[in-house]
Amino acid sequence: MRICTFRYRRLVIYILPVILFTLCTVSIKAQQDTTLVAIGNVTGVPGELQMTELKSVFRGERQRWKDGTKVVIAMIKSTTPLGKAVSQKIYSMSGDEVRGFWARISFAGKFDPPNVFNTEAEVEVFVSQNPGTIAILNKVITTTDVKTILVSGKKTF
Amino acid sequence: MRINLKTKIWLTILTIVLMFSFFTFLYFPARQEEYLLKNYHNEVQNLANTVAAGVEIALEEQNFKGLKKEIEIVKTDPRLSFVALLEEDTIWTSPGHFEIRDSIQSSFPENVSIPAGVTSNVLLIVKQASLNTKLMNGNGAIKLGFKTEEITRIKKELGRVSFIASSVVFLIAVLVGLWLARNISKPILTLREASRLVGEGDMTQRMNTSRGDEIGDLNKAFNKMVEDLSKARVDLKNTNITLATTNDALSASMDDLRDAQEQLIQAEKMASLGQLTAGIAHEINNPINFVSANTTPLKEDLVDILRVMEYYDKVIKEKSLEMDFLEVKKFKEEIHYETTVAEVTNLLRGIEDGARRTSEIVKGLRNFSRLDQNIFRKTNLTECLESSLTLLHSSYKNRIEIVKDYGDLPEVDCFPGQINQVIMNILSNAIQAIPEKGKIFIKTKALGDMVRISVKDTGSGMSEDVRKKIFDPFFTTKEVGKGTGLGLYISYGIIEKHNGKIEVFSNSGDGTEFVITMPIDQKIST
Repeated sequence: MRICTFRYRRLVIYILPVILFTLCTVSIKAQQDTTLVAIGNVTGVPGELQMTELKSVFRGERQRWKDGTKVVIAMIKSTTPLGKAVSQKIYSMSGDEVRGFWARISFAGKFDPPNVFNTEAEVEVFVSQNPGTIAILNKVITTTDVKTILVSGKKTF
Repeated sequence: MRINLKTKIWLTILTIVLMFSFFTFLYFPARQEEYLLKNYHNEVQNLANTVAAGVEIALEEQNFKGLKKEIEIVKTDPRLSFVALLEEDTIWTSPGHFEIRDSIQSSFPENVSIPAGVTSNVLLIVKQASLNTKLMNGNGAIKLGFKTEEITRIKKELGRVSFIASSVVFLIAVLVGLWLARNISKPILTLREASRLVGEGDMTQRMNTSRGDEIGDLNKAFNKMVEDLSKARVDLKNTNITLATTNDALSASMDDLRDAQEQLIQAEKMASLGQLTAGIAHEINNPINFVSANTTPLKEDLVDILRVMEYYDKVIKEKSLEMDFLEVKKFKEEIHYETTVAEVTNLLRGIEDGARRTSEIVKGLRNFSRLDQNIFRKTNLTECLESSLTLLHSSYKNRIEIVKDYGDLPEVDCFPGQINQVIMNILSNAIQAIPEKGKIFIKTKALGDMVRISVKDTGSGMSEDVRKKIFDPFFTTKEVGKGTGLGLYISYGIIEKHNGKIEVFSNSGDGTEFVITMPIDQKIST
């Protein structure tokens, strides 16, 4: 009985990482394949940003837009597929890591933390209602209050 | 050790102050600090738990704004030293071996140095609360560090307040002590002093009774006691005076009785001796009278016989009858007639002298042993002296020269027997004071209405100490059994009874002089 338990344990130790790695790889691949669009409130947010600028904004490193409007970040939860995709492409982190990242930022109180929502619609509404707000969704949206921001000259990335 | 009331009061107050100070300074602040620290620990732990719960929720819901607000609340607390977000890291120390270490993910203040494994100490309360959610790679935790400055400040404040309270209590205690000393100790000390003075006999001591408390009652009781005591003392004093008077009277009576008894005994003895002497003198007087009375006729008869014998001789010679009376002549020669005649004459003279002397002795004895002691009679004191000398003749003859210097004394009112007793006593003492040869000077003199008799010997004299006691009863310098010590004592009494005085002058080694001075006439005489 004890020998049997030992064998199972060895099996789990060797096989489980393989399975997990496979799953992660598949998941990351899926996330990398997701098309993302940067949107922003018509007020304050510029129409075009370089990828590095976008990453810098989403890391909280930029506090004001060029016209002086305060930078406000709107995000969808990192536990959602879109959130995971954003985490990968913008932060090069997993969803949990991004959560931890912002937790540390918020904890230190350095910058204003992002506003996190459960759905894309909530994000869209928030962006439309708050000047200087920038968000990343998976579709192009152009309304009177929301504009799609070109990232490195492209609408999607 | 005796502790007085004042000391007890102060000791009690001091004990209370010390106990109060102990509780105020040490016990209560210690308990307070302990309580505050315990509460502080709980508060910090609760805060850590609250923050952890907030962070947990914020993480779960990714409500980073809420997380920031949550943390802001903690950050604004002035007691905060640091707050840190930790994450457990698995550190592989060697293949197969790892350690779980907390790494600081974020902290406030930023870049604060938080030593690994820091725990609560005197300056800091450190509490940690685990997060039940994964932070990034591992489980997270919130670590709070709160300064104990406030506790120290409160402790100092408590110490200051305790000091002020203790000072106030001490001041109050001193005031209470002074009040107690003034209101209890001082009256009691006054009462004690008054009691001491009362004990020494000062009955004027009174205490203030105006107080309405127990001290006032005590003072009233004291005053009542002193009054009663004073009254009792006066009664006792009066009783004592009465007793002393009675005692003196009794003592005097006792002395008188003893004197009277002694004098009675002596008088009885003297009376008995007098009666005996008088009897003997009387019995001797008759035969000696015969002898005295017959001596002269016998002498005359013998002269006649001798004349007859001379006449016979004359006739024989004139008538030449010698031869006829030759035998008579021979017989006369045989018996030494001439010598015998001379001898008979001498014998008769001796008988005459003896009879005269015996007569004088008898006269002296009769004079000395007069039985009329209790009646003042006109008495010739020179005769008294001579009688005593006659009776004492055997004790001083051939040894002591009596030098007499009799003045012309009138007859004196006295009890002859008693005066004889005095003179005999003084002369006897003078004779005994001269161990071998010496002189006794007897001098009498009339001084107005007084007579003075001085008897001075050339004996060894007496010391001042002996002189002072010479008239005391039962005092004697003679050997045991040879003197009663009553002679001079009785003599003193007799002369006093005669309204006279007897004095003694003496120096050790310079003889002694007794001087009797007494009135010639006694006011009461029979």
